[in-house]
Amino acid sequence: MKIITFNKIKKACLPGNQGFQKKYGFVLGLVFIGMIPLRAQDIGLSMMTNLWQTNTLNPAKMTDRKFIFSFPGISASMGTAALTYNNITSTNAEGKTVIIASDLIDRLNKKNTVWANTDFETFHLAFGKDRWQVSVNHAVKTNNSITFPKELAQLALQGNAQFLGQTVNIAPEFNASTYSEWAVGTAINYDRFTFGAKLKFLGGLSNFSSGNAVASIHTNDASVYELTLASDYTINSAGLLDVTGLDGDGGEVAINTTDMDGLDALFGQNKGIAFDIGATFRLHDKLTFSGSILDIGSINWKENAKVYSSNGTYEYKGLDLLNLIESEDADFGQIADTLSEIFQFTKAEQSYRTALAWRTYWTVSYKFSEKFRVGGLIHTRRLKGNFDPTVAINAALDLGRWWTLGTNLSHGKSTGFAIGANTAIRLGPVQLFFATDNLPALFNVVNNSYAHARLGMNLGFGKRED
Amino acid sequence: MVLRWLLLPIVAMILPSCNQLDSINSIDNIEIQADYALPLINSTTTIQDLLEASETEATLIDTNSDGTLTFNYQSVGPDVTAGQLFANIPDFPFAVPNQRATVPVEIFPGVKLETLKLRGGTINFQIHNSVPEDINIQIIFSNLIKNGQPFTVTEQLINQGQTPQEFLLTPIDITGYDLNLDNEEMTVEYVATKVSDGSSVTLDAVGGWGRDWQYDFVSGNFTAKQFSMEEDTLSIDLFDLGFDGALSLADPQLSLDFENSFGLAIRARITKLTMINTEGASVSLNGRFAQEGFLLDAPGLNEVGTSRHSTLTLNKDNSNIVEMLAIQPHKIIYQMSGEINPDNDSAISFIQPTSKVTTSIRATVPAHGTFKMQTEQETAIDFGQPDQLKSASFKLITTNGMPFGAQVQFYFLNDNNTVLDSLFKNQEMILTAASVDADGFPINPTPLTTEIEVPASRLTAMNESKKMLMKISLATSDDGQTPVKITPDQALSVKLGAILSIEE
Repeated sequence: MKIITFNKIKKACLPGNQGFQKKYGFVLGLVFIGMIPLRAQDIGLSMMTNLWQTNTLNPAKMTDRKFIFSFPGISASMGTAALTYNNITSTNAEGKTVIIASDLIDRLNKKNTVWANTDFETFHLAFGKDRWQVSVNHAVKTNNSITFPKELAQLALQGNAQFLGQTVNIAPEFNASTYSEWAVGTAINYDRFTFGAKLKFLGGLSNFSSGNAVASIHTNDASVYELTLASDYTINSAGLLDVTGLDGDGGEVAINTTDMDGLDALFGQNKGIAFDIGATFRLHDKLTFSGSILDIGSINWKENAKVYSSNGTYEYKGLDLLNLIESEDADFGQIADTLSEIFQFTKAEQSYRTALAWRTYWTVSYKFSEKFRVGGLIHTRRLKGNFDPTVAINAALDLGRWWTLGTNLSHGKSTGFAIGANTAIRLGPVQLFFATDNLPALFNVVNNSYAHARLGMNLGFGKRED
Repeated sequence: MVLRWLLLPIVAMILPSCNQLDSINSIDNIEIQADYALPLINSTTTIQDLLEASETEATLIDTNSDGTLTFNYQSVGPDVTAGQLFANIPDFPFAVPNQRATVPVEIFPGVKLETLKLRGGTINFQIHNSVPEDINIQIIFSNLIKNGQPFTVTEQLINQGQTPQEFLLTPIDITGYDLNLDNEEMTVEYVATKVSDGSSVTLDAVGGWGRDWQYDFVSGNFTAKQFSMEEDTLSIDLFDLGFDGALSLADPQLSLDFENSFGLAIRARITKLTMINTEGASVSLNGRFAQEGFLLDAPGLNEVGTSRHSTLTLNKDNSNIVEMLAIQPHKIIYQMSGEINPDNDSAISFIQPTSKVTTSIRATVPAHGTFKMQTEQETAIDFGQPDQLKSASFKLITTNGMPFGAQVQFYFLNDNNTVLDSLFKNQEMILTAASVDADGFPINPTPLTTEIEVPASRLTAMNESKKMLMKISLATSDDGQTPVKITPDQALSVKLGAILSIEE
């Protein structure tokens, strides 16, 4: 007597780490990786004109000190458009906190970016005199972002029945890079113009990113829901990270750290170079314009570099009836296995190049008085698979000679509306500062989709003449 | 100090957020309501595929001249050998009271022997003599010939000094001799002379025995003789699927094959031929073959050592085989008998020790006819569906190139055989029989789409069920009224997809 069990059909249908969702569940998991480190958009910092760290956002910015040394500081931010803990969670009848998938999806945009960046600035050293300035600094930076189409979440959490007869793109684009940056900069003032540039030498520590990112699924409505899956998708990994399970080596998909020593990675073959350029233009004593383009460059990943590719069009029509009948164990779980095989990646050990997520800052600043100024900012950045602009206005007030308070109101594509605050205190040669681009997130993180903080300390000596 | 004042409000602001971070860890689950559309089955299966997947006992599956699928069941039947019909040649005495005698020969009862070719045996002589001298004796069997010469024995009887004297000669091998008889008699004569003067003498008695005679060939006139053969069974699993209902095969055949190497006229009769189905119902053969039998071909005298093939074919015209197969038998029990020279013909026939009649039976069942059958099969089930599956909607698309359709119904039962639910409200047609042309071949595949809704209540019933009762009805075109022909290349395309509603 043959006993037919349908239990394994769950394997094909239910969300989990099985079946065709495995790969994309894995990619979605990167979201959580990205939430570990933090790094900034630095909306507020760009407007803190009396702070050396503004030079990291525009190499043409000069400070009023001849010599600057910055102690280790950190700038961190994370965010996602529209999603906050409170607006995606509910309390169910059992009193448990749950995420209701449909509510979550209702809040998603057509494209959704989750990002988290961290700059750990080891030191800054700058010297300026007359009309020029030179600097050197080091930082370890982590950029993480993932942009996924709403349809991917809909497919995973609501199923594909809603897309009958449609071809939907489900390819996420992501980047998770950690690298070390040595920067040498200079700035020269000429009349009302100041020009600056930085040359950055990069050493890649780890990278896990998507390359080509095309993946679509079509569910045939005219027949019995045959699936057509098309992919031209590559996943890169290098440095300290290694991915297993993607190329059908039998294991579960997982990200592991390699045996590579961190120093080897830092000074190894993952080299890159990048530029920052900037300029300021002082129209008159009250009105100043500035603009900068940062992180124009790339890293060539060679050390432990692997490229996983899935390329082709596959049609899944179902199981063969005779095979199913003849099978001792009629197992619809084969469907999941087959779909998983369709998305199988092939591995190639080859180098690849990733561009830095370039950014631009365009500001205007107007001094109402010596102690009060306002400004505006247009900031753009290129996250993986997404162009992410932000506009902001700000105001800053000097309270005496040693304390500056500022605030800013911004609206970004990936951050929404945010109110920021910043402060800097000068105690002799010591300058302390703190800035956040979204003040409410600091004390109410569950209702905010965007958080940012920057903290640091500088030593400044010798006041420069105007 | 100032630094402390600066940091204090910052820490104060951040602390609540840190506490809130703890609550993020308290997310217990993601509640999902999803509908997954999946293709489950996509298969095009031909009759040939099904046959290859089956474990039929059919010895041969082929097609006839118009391509119709044909099932052949064949087995070797009983045989009859010369040894079973004719006993070995018994030892027999002979006596030559005078110098010449005619000895009657009746080796095979009921056979007027004409020629006996010997491949073994001896003649043992016993001689009684009262002449007190040495005697030369020559004994001649003029009917026992080898190489054109009669069987002749020459001996010298040495006087032993007493009278009468008895002499037992060493047995003489008669291998290779032919015994050619006239009127079933053979002539034996002897010549005895004294060694001393060569004068002729008459001995007291000359005789002996033919012992252990074995033959290579016997010819003569065989009188009528009946014999029977063992009962045998041919199994047929073609109808083992357990379907009941009307079945009418258009042109089945049952062939009985005979291979006869007896040089005799033999009439074979079918004394028993009964088809029995799994329920014990049976139908027996009737028709002229049951009474009259039929004459087997036999080799002629100039064809010694060969055999002749004869086939008795039972078909719809000469028997009730259609009626017999209509009961969907799973075995055929048959027995035959035979009669040698049934017409008491005086012609000369022959046998050899290797002569025999072998039989075989072959049922040939072309897939040509009509049927309208149904079956009920109960099977233990364990759907074991995950709790998360809340409902399902199946879409079944069949494109049937076969000239028979199918209706199904599935009942879900508990341990007490109480019906908890059924898959359909009524029995549902899932295959529409393809229409056929005048010859019974399908014209075009017939598509059919069947939507199967399995709401939550039915899923509950399925989960609680322990058994599933499947009712399946199959019928050829026009509801089993039109004869159809099934060919190996007829195909059935089955596509099954499902929308599974999941809540987790």
